[in-house]
Amino acid sequence: MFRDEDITRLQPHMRTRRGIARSFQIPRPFKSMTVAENLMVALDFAVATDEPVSAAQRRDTMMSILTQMGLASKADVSVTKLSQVELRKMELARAMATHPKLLISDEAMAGLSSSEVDEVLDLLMSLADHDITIIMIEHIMQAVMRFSDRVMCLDAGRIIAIGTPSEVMANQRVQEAYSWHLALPSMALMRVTAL
Amino acid sequence: MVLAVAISRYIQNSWIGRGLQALRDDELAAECTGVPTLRLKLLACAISGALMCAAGAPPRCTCNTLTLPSAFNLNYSVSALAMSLIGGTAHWAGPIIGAILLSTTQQLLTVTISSEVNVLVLGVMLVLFVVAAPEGIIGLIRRVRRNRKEGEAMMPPETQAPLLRIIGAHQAFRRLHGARQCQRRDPLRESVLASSARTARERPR
Repeated sequence: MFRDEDITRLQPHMRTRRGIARSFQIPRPFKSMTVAENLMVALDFAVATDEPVSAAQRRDTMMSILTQMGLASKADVSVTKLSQVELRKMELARAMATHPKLLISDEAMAGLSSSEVDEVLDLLMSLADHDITIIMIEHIMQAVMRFSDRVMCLDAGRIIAIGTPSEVMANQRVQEAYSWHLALPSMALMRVTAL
Repeated sequence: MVLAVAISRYIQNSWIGRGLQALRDDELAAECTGVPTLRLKLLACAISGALMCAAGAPPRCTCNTLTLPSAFNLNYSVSALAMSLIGGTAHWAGPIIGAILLSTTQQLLTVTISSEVNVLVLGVMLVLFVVAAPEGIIGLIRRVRRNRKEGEAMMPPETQAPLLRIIGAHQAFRRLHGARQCQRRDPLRESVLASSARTARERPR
């Protein structure tokens, strides 16, 4: 159920139009396009408005999203030239261009350095201030502790703890799961502002 | 033909073209960005089918007799496919370039040698392009342009001066002899010096 509507049978693009956006763990940009064109796809298809939107208006929206993400100078650069952290930001920018109510960020920080993790985390926190609920799936504890309002810890597909970050960290089963598994259990972190 | 070119040019520059391009690059990502992939595929299929019908209908109107081998000859389908493959499928101008090139070659070969050789050359050209230039002539042009642009970007004007200059040397027995003076440029040091000079200039007094 999403905003009092059953979305189980909806096709992915229809879910996107309802306001659910996602970013991928391994960035999946449209490789033959520039950063700006990647965002234009989202603006063309995902935003359902009754009023016609002029090209200039869409360009403005796109540039404001890119500025927010710190990618304004890369607008006309081909995505194949971007660094890993810039690709992650581009993924988030493209998800933002669909004007989501709920953003599912799938390990947006995997494989980044600690300063880059902070950079992406700051971006996600700024998005959360724009009335967007974010479900962040993450293993990096630095991000977990700083970001979340509510944490859900999953181990082998089962919920083993749910609550505030400090409650979950104090939980005996979570600590056991972390000490026993080399592969860390998944954390679904939520920063609930809307919904 | 003018209508077909106009339609394909419009599609490429419109939201439909962007959607199809996204679909070609990454179907899953396109779907998650809100692109109705199935509907766009059906639309592309319908439009290209309609254009092919429009191309095939007029010649049949002028024929008095219609035989299966002549009307549904495989050559028509293969050369239509080859034209867009050779020209380039990623741009509206690709099939036009391919059509001009291929039909001229085919006519020349049929008249000068024979129609069998014409089919052979068509096959060889198709294989060559699929292997060596899968994006067609348009793709080749784009690649050359991109390389040139990158080459210019890699070579800023200050590094165009030689990095190492040896004065008064000559080569004998595969060795360098009698170098009186060596002048070596260090672009990194120069850029550091230039930036510190700039900072000194800009510093308020």
